[in-house]
Order: sequence, then structure tokens, then C-alpha cells
Amino acid sequence: MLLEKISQNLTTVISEVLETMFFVFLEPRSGPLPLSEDFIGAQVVIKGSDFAYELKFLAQSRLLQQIAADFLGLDQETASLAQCQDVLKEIGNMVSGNLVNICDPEARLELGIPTVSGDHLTAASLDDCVEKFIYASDEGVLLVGINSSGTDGK
Amino acid sequence: MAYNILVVDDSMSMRAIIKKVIGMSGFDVGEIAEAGNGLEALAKLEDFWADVVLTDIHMPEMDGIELLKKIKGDPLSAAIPVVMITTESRDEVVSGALAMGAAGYIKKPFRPEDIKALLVEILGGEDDAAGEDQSESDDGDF
Repeated sequence: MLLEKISQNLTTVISEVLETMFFVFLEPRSGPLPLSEDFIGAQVVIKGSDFAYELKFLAQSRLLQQIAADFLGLDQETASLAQCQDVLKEIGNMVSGNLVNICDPEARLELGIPTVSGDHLTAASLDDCVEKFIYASDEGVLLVGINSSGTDGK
Repeated sequence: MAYNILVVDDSMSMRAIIKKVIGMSGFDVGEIAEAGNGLEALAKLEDFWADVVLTDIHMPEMDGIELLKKIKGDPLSAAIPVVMITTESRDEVVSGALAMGAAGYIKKPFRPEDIKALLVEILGGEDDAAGEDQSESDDGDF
């Protein structure tokens, strides 16, 4: 099943993307989702012939401000919401793209364009997801949820 | 010779970081122009002479593959080297882009030296870039 492949490879891909490109080291965590109300969200859809997976990315704003500031050479306080959202979309794009490369070498899947889902979100945004993952650093938390529709025949 | 470079990506963050990496690369860079998708890139190329185009693949309006086709299909722009910078590394997509005339391919996430190495290969200037290598204490410092 594609969902299993995505789940199995997610942590490795997140580490590769965030460490190589953003110099951020996140550790996987278990337990309940955090109660924070300052998440910024983005999502990417991966489409197959008769199914689709939506990867939802929620990052605490202070984590994104730190990443955006480091990435763009800004002071943390001056990273705007638009810059934070753009960085989260690019994280989602790179993570999803690299997952597709691993899980679909035959290029049957179509990778969508990342979109922003808002700010001041809570972890409840992942309530409809069949899989949820928590990654944390001292700066904050990144949540990834996977929502599925249709039949994954793989 | 100063090289003009067109950076095409729908992410302003990626455009900023690619421009920064190019600036660190040791090349004699003229002007670096930006576009947010293939359509914007084609419009920019009407009044901007690019020595190389660095483009993402997955973009709204017009993607990087379509942009590559348009550039290579126009005799006025066909000689411009086009480099794909993308998350996409599936053989079918990459080999397809190279068959269509892409000059190279860089996978995201990339390291600054990946872009530098490909620019050296395409534009030359290896000696200058090598000298820059020796003078930089931290290539990964964005």
C-alpha cells in the first residue's frame, strides 16, 4: 500500500529535507498532539488514477519564523507571515516530492502544487487524517497528517 | 564576462536562496532576474538576455517542462541553457527533460556546491570558482 510506504519513509525524508536545506534538526515524538493555537498550515495533494493523498503540514509559527529567518537571512522577528507560509509550502513541496520519488519510481503519481491552509490553526486541523506524525525541536513542533480518498490499489 | 541568470520558481523563498547561492558561487554575475512561473519567464525573456535559466518544474500557470519546450522551440532562445531545479527525480521525468534539451538537473534539497558545480560545467569559469572554494570557510552558510 502506498500509504504504508509514505508513512515508512516520511521521517527519513523530513530529516533529509530539513537538515540539508534548512539546517533544522527535528526529532520524531509520540503522544497526544500539542494544544498550541499558533500553527501555520500548508498542504500538498498526491494523485493516483483513482485515489489521492493529501499531506497536511502544520508548523508552529515560532519554528517557522526561525526557519524563515535562517533561510532568508533575516532577523527572526522580521520574518513575515507570507515568508513563513512560503517556506512551509516549500518544505511541503520538497517532502512530498521526495516521498513520491521513493514511493513511485514509475512516475504514475501526480504531485500537486502546495497551498496554504491558514494560520492560527490548531492540531484539530488534522482530525480527518488517517495518519499523524509529530516532529519537534527546541524551537517548536511540526505536525504532518495524511488524509486519503479513493482506493489505493498498489 | 558577466553572466545574466533567470531564476524561475513559484516560491519566493527558493528564488531568494538560489540568488544568494549564485552570488556566493564566485561567478561574474551580471543581472539576476526572477519569474514566478513559466509564463512570467517567457515574458521576461522578451526583454532580458539570459545566459542560463534555472527553473523549477512544478509551478502554476506554466510548469518548467512546458517552459523548457517553449525555450527550446524558439530559435531566438533555443541556445540558452536551461537547468531544472526540482524535487522531481523520477527517471522518466528527468530523462524526459534532458531529452528535451535541458542542460542539467539539480534535485531539491540541494547544497550550494551543487548549483556552483553545474554552473561551472555549463558556463565555465572553473578557475574562479575553485579560487572561491578555497576562500570560503563555510559553504553551507546561507
